[in-house]
Amino acid sequence: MKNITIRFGEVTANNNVDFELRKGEIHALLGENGAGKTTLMSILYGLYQPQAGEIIVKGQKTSIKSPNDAMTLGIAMVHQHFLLTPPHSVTENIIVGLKESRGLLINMSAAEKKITQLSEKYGLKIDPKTIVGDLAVGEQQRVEIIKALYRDVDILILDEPTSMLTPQEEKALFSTLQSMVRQGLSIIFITHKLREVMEVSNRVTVLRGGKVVGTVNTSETNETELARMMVGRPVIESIAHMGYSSNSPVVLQLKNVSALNNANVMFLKELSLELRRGEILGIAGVDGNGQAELAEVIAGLRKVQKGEIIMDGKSTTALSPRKIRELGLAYVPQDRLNTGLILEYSIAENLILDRWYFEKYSGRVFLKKDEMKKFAEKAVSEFEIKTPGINVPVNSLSGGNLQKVLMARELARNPKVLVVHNPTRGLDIGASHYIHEQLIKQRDAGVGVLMISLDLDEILTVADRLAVIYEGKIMAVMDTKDADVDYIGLLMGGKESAVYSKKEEAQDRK
Amino acid sequence: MSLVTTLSQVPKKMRDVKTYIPFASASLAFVVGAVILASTDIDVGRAYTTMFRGAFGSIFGIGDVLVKTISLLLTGLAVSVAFKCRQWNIGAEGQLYMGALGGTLVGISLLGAVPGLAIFLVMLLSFIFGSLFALVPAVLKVKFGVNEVISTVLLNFVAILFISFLLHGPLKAPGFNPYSPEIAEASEMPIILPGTRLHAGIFIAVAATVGVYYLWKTKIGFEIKSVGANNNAARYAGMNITKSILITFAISGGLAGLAGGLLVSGVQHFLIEGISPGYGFIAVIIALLGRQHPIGVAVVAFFFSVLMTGSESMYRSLSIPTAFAMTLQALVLVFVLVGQLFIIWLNKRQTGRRLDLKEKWLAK
Amino acid sequence: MAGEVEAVIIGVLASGIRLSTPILFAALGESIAERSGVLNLGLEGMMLFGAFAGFMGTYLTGGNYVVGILMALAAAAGLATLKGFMSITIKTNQLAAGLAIWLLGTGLAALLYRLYFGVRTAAPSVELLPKIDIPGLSSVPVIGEVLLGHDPLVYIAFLLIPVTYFFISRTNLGLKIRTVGENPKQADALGVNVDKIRYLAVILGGALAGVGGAYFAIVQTGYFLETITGGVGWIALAMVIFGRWKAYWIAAGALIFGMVDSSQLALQATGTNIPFQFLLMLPYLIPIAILAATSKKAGAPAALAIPYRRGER
Repeated sequence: MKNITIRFGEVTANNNVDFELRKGEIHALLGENGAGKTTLMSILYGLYQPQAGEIIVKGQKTSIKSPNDAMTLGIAMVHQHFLLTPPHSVTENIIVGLKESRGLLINMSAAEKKITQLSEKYGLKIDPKTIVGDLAVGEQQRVEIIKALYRDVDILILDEPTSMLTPQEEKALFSTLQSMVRQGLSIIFITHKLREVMEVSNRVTVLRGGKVVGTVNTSETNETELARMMVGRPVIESIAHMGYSSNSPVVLQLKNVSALNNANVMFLKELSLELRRGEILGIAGVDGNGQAELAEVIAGLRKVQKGEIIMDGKSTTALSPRKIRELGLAYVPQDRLNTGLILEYSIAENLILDRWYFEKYSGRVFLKKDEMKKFAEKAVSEFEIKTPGINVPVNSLSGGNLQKVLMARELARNPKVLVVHNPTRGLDIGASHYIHEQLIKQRDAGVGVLMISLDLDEILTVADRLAVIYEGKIMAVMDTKDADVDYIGLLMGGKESAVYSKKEEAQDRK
Repeated sequence: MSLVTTLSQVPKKMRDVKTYIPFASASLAFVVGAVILASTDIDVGRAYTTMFRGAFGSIFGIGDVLVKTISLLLTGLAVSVAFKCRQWNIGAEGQLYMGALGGTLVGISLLGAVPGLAIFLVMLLSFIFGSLFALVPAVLKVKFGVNEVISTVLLNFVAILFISFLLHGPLKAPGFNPYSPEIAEASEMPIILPGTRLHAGIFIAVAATVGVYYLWKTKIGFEIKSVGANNNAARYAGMNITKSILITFAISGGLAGLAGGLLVSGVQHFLIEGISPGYGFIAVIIALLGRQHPIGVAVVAFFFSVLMTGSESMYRSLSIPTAFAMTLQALVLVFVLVGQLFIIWLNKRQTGRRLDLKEKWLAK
Repeated sequence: MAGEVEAVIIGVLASGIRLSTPILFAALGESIAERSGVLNLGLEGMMLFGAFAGFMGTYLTGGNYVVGILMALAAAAGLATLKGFMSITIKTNQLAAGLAIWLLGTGLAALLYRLYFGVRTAAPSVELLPKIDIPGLSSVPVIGEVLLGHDPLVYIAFLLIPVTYFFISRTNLGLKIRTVGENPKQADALGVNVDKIRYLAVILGGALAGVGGAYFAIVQTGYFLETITGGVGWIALAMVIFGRWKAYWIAAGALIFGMVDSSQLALQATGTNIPFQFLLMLPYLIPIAILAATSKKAGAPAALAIPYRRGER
């Protein structure tokens, strides 16, 4: 793939990307979230078309306009979020849409035979007759892989394949990949986990911010170097860390909290965390390691399976979202458009979405439009929200201003704890800076701020302390001023050891 | 959106092609209608002139347009209130009949003869009857998860049959025909335009329009609106979805019931089967076209009344069936829906992200 | 006395089978459409329009039922294509589109009928579709008289039950339809043309609904009325939900409905004290009761009524 560039609206997801896969190799595609890995592979699989660049498969320049084209070329993709139909059987999931099945009847026995053959050839044990919904996650993945193999592939793309696997299932997967390569397949392996790259790949390409940082042979590099490439050097904003004391009382505490994600997989695994008054605690990590679930359990939007959450001395583990907010929580979700705001509503209406029943904003029958107006105008001026008016529907606002509306609403609660998730995602520098200032202001006023962010630079510049989340657990907590970026990168990539020294780094380099 | 906002956006909207789509759709509907008429050798020009003259050519015609507007406006508002909360109440026709029943009961009772009080009671009881009947599918939905589209539609038939039973039995006036006894004079809505059938109910309908307009500015209206717009965000903000649903159905059914009561009190003066030529069903189109804004509903209701009145005239003079009106109305809706294709196509020229948002919104 | 009772029961059962036939056509057809993820509220309109077309086709050809049925098929399929266009290509709100089709179908049927026939003293009518007699079998006691001696459409409807099941569950096309309705992304990623499959399913469903509508005109009555379908399209929709989108269960629901309807008619005829209107209400109340009793939406195709856009983030 040469000079691939693709834009979605204002975002350039892939910027002049060159990528090369050699026959018989396992090539890892490494990067943080938003780096552009999945996008690039989606282009290869025909789900997106790039605005620029060319694709050359087996020496021939081609254009891949749909998954059908990709499959004809021998390219198959196993997606991170499985594309399976739970009520259907394994066989049905695999054979749907096959070119060979032009006939009327489903040739079940022939299909089952081929599936069994494939599963034995690659060591992927699966019974074709089982209903997919009854399978464990690791087994479902095997179905996904066989789905790809069934179609005579030469190039197999795997997107974050280990995100939902147990260690044993992971080992099994890796040996499967090795045997596939021996059979002549070439594999592209998308991941953010450094260990996996080192364990299984021959070469690795690192993407950051849509651009290629470099391509190296795995045998010639180590995790530290990869981490550095993946995460880069932070751009230091000069924001003073004032007034932070490590003796402040704890205002939010999570004790061994476990929770399921939407696919009913245990995603938070006995997570423990402490947030103090008057500090900003950043949660760093690659997306998909439990951040959203963490925010949601704190806000009461997700059930806690085990463990306890204590806010300001009171247990909030089983309370309703409304109650938790009344007790002093403010939450700015990452999904501004869906859970946070109602797009058709005006700024004024969105601002009172959570408090329309307060006496201040409504009389016995009517909403107090004047009060709403005053509140909205105050918010607009205080937060410098650029808008034609307070009655304009918010879907006409830019991302930055949308976020300001949300922040204005949440901060007006005078909370004790403020949880923000990806507060500056998609915002320009100016808007981001502004949001950061607001967070600092809250911190200085004594609020405990939990800032979950995929942007490590942001955490390093704004947060007082930071914790790294990986696979539903907190790996380590440290003060930001002493933080070593390489070390953090390692933690984000899953390296568990908490002890690290320059000596080890020197050894790794050899 | 407030009236001020709407007005301040008028100049902008005039320049936007999208505003003209409803007019284009209506015109297309007329064209298709013309084609159908022409296929049976009917003089299209004469047909449409008759329609126009029927509606506007005489005082009686104008009066009749307005009389129909009363029913269409009230039922249209009823359905639009429900739709605003994303509750698909297709049972306005049945709720109208129950309301008519309520009004009749007052009219033939002793209280119905008390001047002043009678009319008030007629309206109150027709509202209540419609409201209670609408709560049946509402409760079925919140307690048992029964899809309200199906339950409200089927209950229409139940209501109509129930009325039929009453009119053939307990409520039957002496004589051979299944009518109810006439309501007392004190329960009749006074005619306000001599020479027509236009009665004071028009003021009620207008009042209801204003009422619904202000409903959305109240506390409870805000909650209902929010639940309809995005019930994720509403739930997250702490709103009570069940309460909103129940109240919505109650108001919706009440307005439809009111329409029924006014049909009895203002037009027929007794209850009869078929008192409504399907107002409750046309109301669904009106609500969809009026985009849940009371002014929009009023405009569409008026336009549809013109169609229906004109269509009656077409029947009298040219034997064109009255189903013509319904067909035209359905075509307008179809073309408006198809017109959304153009909106999407136009939006494709704007930025990508905004497109997704608008698409998601339009698709709702 | 026993013989009389037996005769009545047989009559009720046989009649019940005939009454359930239009529902079978419509509900089985709709289940195919819904399995692909498209909800069609306009079923009633399609049935009525099909009834009209079926009547016209038979009438104009002087009694050729095949033409009539084909016209019913085509007319309803045409409406279905329009519905498909609105729901699949334009991706408009499926409820609104369905309601629009309902009113359009109803309006067109009434309009075109009266335009063509005008006002007449005697309503135009056609000969009823004749019943077929399988020699020998109809003398089998009890069952023979219930199951046999019906018109051909009844048998086609009953054949349709296993055919639908087989089509959906055992053919490749059926698998595509099911996958498109459950996980369109998966189907798309595997090269299935989601839109094309949905159009196919919707048009097929519409065509069957049209035949169901035609049944009223050419079998039950012999003429056309604007109210001839009597809300049966809505009942069919309820049956699809009741039957959890599975052919045999849907059929069971349709049969139950037919039997209830038939019993109610018989009760009317025997002059019971229950006013006939309450009996007439039963067909509309029973589906509601069934829906209330069964658990919500269990088994619905996961992508039902959700428009599909490739690459939606």
